[in-house]
Amino acid sequence: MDFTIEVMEINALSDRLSVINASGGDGAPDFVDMEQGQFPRFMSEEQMCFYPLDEFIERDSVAEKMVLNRLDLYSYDGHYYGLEHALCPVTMAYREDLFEEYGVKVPETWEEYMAAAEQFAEHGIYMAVAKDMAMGGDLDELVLMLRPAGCDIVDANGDLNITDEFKTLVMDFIEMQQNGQLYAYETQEEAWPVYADDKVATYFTADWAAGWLRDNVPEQSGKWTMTALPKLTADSGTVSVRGGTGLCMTKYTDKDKESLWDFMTFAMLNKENCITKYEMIALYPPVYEAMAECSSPVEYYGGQNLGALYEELTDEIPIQYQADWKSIFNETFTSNAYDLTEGNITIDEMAEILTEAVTEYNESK
Amino acid sequence: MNKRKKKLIPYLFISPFFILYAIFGLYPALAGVLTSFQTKTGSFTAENYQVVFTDDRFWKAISNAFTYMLGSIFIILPVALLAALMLNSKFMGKKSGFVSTVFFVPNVTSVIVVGIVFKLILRTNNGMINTALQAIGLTDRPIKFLSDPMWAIPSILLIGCWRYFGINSLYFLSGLQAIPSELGEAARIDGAGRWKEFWYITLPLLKPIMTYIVFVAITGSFAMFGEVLTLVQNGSAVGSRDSMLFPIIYLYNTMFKNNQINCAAAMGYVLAVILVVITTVQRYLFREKE
Repeated sequence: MDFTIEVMEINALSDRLSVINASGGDGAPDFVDMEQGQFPRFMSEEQMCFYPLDEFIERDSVAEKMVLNRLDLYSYDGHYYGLEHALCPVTMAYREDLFEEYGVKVPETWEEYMAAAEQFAEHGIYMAVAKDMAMGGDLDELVLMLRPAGCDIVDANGDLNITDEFKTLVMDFIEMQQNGQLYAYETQEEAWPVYADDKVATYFTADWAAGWLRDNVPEQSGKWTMTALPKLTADSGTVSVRGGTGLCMTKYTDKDKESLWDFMTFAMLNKENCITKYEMIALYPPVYEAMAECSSPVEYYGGQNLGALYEELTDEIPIQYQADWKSIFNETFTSNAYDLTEGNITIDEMAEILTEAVTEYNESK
Repeated sequence: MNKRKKKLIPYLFISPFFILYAIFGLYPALAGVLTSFQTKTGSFTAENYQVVFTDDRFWKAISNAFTYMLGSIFIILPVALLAALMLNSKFMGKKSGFVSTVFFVPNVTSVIVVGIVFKLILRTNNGMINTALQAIGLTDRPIKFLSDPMWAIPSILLIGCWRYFGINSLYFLSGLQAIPSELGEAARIDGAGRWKEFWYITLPLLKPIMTYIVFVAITGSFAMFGEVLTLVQNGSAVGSRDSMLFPIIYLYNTMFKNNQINCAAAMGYVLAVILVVITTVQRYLFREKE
């Protein structure tokens, strides 16, 4: 059997699918590897271009084989539309040598994290790097702290959920950037030299980005250690989740659905393939059966067994809810972020502006 | 070959253009009109236009484009004209060909590369401009060119200036070279100075080429997309207080990110009408007077 695989930039892929939808499915592929952040664009009756996998998922008991919260990532209106590639657990990497040298306690709570940031700032060291909040920051980075505390900006019904925790966290990020505790970058490229200067103490990272440190600051091999995330609230979990890509079958395919499902299970649920994928590109599988064998020591992290850490935290993996208004939320936040950082508007006013924009969008549907 | 066949042959030769235009130009344009008057379920409505007309963000995008357009016309084009005058001067001699080529390079540079380079120049931390301003003591606090709404349009204008002054200079140069040198000589014999020669002879004779250059500057301002997208490096690319929101970016976000296809189509037509009005005014102002 011949396969044609077309590699495309994430946004271009979604744009192409929108056009395919608008033209009634002309030129649709059989499968799409859908980045989770783009999935909400298709969460409406007229835009949903994927085939519901419910019958297969139920028949093959996929929910028992795979972390359910990762399966839910591609659900809409009570149907499942994709199988996730990776567990995407977010943990905290920290510079063990810097923490020891300056006598700073490795933080286990958000308060401790902020206290550590203050201590490091006295020595000219940033606690972490984060996109400049005046430019809108990186909302995904903020939200990952909220998920383990159960206060994501999207609730279980897909509605907007602006909590006090969100407001506090946004203001904490702004304050830490303005106090020189977090390095505020405008362009991603300017961040790595700051790491290379031994000026950064922590790095929140999903499994898929854990290797970025190795790629960008190889000279720091053996200095980084991975641990659980600091808890935002007393009831928070210690691991979050960020990102993901799911294999989806398009509803326009003319191929036999059973055969296509066979391919999906082979690619996404097969134990050996999951292990191979982990060994090749470090994507930790969301498939229970494969987890135990994805546990080789990682040289860059001082021989630490990252797989074992992820497996230990698997049961705490929070759910990542989806909503089609996220793009409007991001746009509105970005547009007003400068005024928030300059004190021209308060966080409560920002919350009102965001709520208004999302409500207006929902009403326009 | 009979007479009728002979008459048809020229049409046959020009038909490929018209067939392609009908398929890829006319049909989408007409289908767009239909889409702009439809609801998502396909029924007729004029509400999409009402939404566009009452959308503050759309008008903010138009206002940004208008501001950029004024900047293009009154900053970028005069700089280009100055460069063209320099290239056309006797002082440049044979070097003008080489210098013109150098001027043209920014125009063929990929917009992505331009965006990346200008991020390095404009960024707050260690950006070239901020480093220079701080080194000479003009500012203590770095200027947030990429996030401060006051600096958004000037930052994009700076890019536009660098990118388009070369090609505009060449247009102006071609216009200058078409002006007979005898006219200048005659004016000088009659006692006209350099400025009077430029104002009463050169500038009026540049009007035909200037009509075209200003037209391109207007449409280019409203079609701004790539520069902003790469400069802001943000999924939404709108800038603070929508200061970098341009009509085509807003249209793209409406169509592809928010799936409001009908609204986006209406937006496209409102934009087209606005452009027709502006360019009509421009053509009126640039008309040849009796």
